[in-house]
Amino acid sequence: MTQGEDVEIITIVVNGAKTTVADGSCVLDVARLVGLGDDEPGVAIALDGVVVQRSEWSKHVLAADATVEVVRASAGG
Amino acid sequence: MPALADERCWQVAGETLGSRLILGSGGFTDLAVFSETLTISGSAMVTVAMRRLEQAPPGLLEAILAGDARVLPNTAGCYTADDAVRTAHLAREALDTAWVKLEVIGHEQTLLPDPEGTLVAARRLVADGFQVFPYTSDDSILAARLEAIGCVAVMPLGSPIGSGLGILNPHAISLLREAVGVPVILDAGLGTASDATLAMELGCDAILAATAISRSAEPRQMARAFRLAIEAGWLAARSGRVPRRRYAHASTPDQGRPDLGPGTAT
Repeated sequence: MTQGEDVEIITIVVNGAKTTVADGSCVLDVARLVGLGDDEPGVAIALDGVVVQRSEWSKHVLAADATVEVVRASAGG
Repeated sequence: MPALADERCWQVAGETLGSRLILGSGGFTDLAVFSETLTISGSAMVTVAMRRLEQAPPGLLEAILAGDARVLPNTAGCYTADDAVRTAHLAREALDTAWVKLEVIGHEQTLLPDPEGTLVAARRLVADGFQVFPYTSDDSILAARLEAIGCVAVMPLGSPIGSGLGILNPHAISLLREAVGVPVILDAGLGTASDATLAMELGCDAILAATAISRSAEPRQMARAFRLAIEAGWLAARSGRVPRRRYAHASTPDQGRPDLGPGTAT
């Protein structure tokens, strides 16, 4: 993503909540937005229901109304 | 007599695990207590769920990986095959493991498994290269079908999840044990250590305990109880228990009993 004066804003949904990001943002930008560290273990991201491999986070650009789920390993039987 | 290692070690999906107790990480109120409980339990595998970031505080995975236990992600909370398959894919990406405890729930109140959804999801996950551990009912026919489609173990419930009712139908578990060749892991419903002993006496290879340990008053102590109970049950199952009899059967012989004649006890 490139910051500029005329950056368009799009709305996406991250973990069920509407969020605005700059047009051209990628999955990696969302990861940073929610505070994920670069090497944080046990996390995964799905874009529109499909898992995006960590190595691909910077390659998947978000469209308006994209749905992103960011998950972490959590306590559970 | 079997070596101690035999009481503890078993094989599943081509791997050897050093404990027949799988610890569920759900229900603990404190991460430090969980860590201590894991150590005391001796468990070689811990289940985890996948949840949205804001509902999943960090630290659990680090606590598990600080020891020797491996992680078994589950699809808890999924009510459709599709949801379970997607969750399994998230887990594989997050945890770099193809092992997954498949849960497809069929009813909100009982949390009983959906047999059709479980079969559908298991087929898809096996095709996708997962090592599938399905949570299932105690139906031996269904268990055999899960094995036939490539599941590496089956995980029958003893009773509804978190109920603490123990093994409500031991006969069904025993039949299920006979029906499949893959490991049988008694999952769900255990309430106390003697339930784990019974599971092992019925021929199970391992048990999964979450609520019974995490929500007991003393999780660390209960974990030790389960550890010992599993070993006791495994040994007893291979020690040839006596038959059940309707009437008494004295172990002390009558022969050689002294004749002390008539008299009055003083």
